[in-house]
Amino acid sequence: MKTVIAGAAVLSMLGVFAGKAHAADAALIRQGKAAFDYHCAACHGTTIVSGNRHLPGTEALIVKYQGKLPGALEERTNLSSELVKYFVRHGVSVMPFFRKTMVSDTELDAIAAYLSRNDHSGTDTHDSGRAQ
Amino acid sequence: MLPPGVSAEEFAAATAAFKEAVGEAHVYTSPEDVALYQDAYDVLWGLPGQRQVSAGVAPTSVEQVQKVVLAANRHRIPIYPISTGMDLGYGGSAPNLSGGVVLDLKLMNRIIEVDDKRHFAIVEPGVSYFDLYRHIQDRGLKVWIDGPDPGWGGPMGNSLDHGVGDTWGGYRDHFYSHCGMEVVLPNGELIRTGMGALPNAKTWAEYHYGVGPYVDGLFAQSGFGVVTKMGFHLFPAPEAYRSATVFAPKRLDLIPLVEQMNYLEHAGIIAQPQYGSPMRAVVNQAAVQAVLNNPAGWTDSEIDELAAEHQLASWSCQIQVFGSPETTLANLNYAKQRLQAAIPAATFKDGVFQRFPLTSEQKAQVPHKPSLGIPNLEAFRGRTPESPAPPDGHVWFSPVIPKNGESVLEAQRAFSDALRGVDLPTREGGNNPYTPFNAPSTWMFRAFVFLSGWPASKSNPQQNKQVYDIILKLIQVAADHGWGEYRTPPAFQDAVVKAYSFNNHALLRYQQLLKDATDPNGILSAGRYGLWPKHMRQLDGLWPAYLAKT
Repeated sequence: MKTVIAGAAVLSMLGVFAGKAHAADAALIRQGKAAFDYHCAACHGTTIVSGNRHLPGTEALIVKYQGKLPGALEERTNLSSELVKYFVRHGVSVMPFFRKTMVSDTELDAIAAYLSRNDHSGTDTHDSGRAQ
Repeated sequence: MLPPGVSAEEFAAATAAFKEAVGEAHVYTSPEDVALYQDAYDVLWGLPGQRQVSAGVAPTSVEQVQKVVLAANRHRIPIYPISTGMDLGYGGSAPNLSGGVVLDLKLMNRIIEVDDKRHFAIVEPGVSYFDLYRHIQDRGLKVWIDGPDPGWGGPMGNSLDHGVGDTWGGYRDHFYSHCGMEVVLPNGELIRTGMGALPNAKTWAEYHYGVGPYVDGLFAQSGFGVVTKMGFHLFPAPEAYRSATVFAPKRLDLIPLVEQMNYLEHAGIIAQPQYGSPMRAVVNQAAVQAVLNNPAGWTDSEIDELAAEHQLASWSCQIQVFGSPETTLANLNYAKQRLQAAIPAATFKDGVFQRFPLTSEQKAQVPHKPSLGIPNLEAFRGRTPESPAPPDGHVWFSPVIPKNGESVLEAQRAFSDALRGVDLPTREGGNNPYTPFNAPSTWMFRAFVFLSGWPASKSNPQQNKQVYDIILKLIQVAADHGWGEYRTPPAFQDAVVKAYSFNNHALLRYQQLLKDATDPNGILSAGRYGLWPKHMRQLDGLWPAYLAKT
C-alpha cells in the first residue's frame, strides 16, 4: 500500500512537473514567436511571396529547396534548436551574424524553441541546414 | 586580440573598468562574442587588412557611456562607437583600427519623443527604423519616417554616416534633416548642441543652430564624440500619392530630362525622381556586349541604334508626387507638360494612385517601400532563380557627381573605360558593371550618386583582393574627374580622404588640429574617415606608416 501511495505520489509529481514543463515550453514558444516576428520576419516571414512583396530569406530558401522543404522557417519540421542558434550567430549567405545586443541569448533561446517546436527529425538535423 | 600598443595587463584593467561601468553581462570578450562585431561584409575578409575587435562594451545609459569614455582615457584604449551597427556595405560594426573596443550603443533604444503636430522625433542610438515606424503606427501618429533601403539600421547611425533615403526633398538627406544632438565628448563631458544648449529648451529638435558656431557636423563620419540622443525632422503624413513614368527614347535626351526633373524637384512640385534605363534588361546580350566591349569605346549613335533595335527607350524616370488627390493630379500633369515640351518624343505611363493610410496588404504590394516611408529588408536579394549562388555580401562605391545629364554620360564613360579589359568578378557574368545604361541614384537632393555594388566574400579572399584593387582604381578615376565619394567602408576611407586634398590637405589638417585638442589620447574612432590620432600619424604627419604600403 505504501508502495502504491508512493508510486501514485511520484506519478502525480511527474504529472505536475510535466505540466509545468509543458507550460514553460509553451510560454517560451510564445516568446519565441514574438521575438521571431520582431527580429526575423522581415526576411523569413511566412506570408506568400507574391507581387511586390519580397521576403529575401524565404525566397532564397524556396529557390534552394525547390519544393523539397518549405521556404518559410516557421513551416519547417526539421529545424533543431542548435541549428537555429548556429545560423543566427554565424550567418549564412547574405544573412549576417547577429550580435548579442541585437538578439540576446534569451531571445535566441526563445526563437530556437519556437522554430524547433515541430522538429520531428531527431537529433541529426545539421546536414539539412548546413548544406546552405 | 589586444588593441594595438596595449599590454595584456592594461587591457585586463580596462576591461575590469568597463565591467564596473556597464555591468559584467554587457562586456563581451569571449572569442565567439567578439567575432560578432566583425563586419560581415568586410571586403578584406581573409586578407591582412580584415578588421578585428578586442571587445564589445554595451552601455544602457548616458552615464555609463561617460564612465566608459573616462576608463578608455585612463587606460588609453581605442573605442569605436556604433549605433545599430547594421551599416553593411559601408563597414558594419567593425572599427577602422583593428583591435579596437566597440562601444555598442544598441541597448540605448528609447524613443524619447515623437511630435506629429510639429513633425519631429528625438531618439537614442539603438532605435531602428523598424522600431520608430512601429512606434508611430501603433499610436496612429501622422508622420512618416525617411529610411534607407534596409530598415534594420537606425536614424541616428545612418544620419551620422551621412545616409540617405527616398521620400521628399531634404528628408532624404538624413544628416541634413537631423536637428539637435546630445554628445559625450572624449573627456567624458556631456554637451547638447543647437537649441539643446539652452536649459529647458523647447525647440531642440526644430531649430538647428542655437547661437554661435554650429558644431554638429563634427560628430558625423568622425571621432569627436559619442552621440547619445538626436532629433530629426519628420515628413507630415501626406493624404495621397501619385506616380507616372516618362520614357525618353534617345541617349542624349537624358540632358533635358534631368534639367526638367531638377526644376520640378527643386521647386517642390515632385518628390524623388527615380531614373532608370529599360536597356538594362538586355545589357548582357551578346550583341549589346559586343558594342560595349569595343576597345575604342561606344558612340552615342551606336547606343541609340541598339535601343531602336530592341524597341526600348534609352531612359525612364519615375515621377512621384505627394499631396491631396487634386494637387497630385495637377502637379503630375504639370510635370508631364514640361517634360513633353522639352522632349517631344517622350512617352508616359501612369503608375499608381494611393490614398493614405494604406492597409497591410496595400503596404505589402508597394513596389519600393522606402519611397512611401515603410521600412523593410526587401533590397536584400539572397539566392534567386537568376542568381543561384549569390555573394556573401557587398560593398559600395559611391561617387557624388553633378546633377545633370552631361555628368551622368561622362561618368558612364569614365568608369566604363577604366574597367575595360580589367579582370572583373564573376557577378553579372563578369561583365563591366558600368555601361551606357547605368542611371544615377537620386537620394541626395542636390547631387547624384553614381553607385556600383561589388561582391564581398567570406570564402574567396582572392576575389576580395580583386574588388579592393578595382575600387581603389575607381576612387582615383573619380578624383581625376573632380568627383569624391560621400561614404565608403573603412577599407577605403584613407584612399577617399586622400583625394580631398585641396591646399595640401588643409581641411584634414584642420580636423586634426581639432581632434588633437579635444581627444588628446586619440581614443575615439581612430582612423575614421582618415582622421588618425597624433601618435599614429608617422607618414607626412597625416597617415599611419602602414598606409605607405597600400
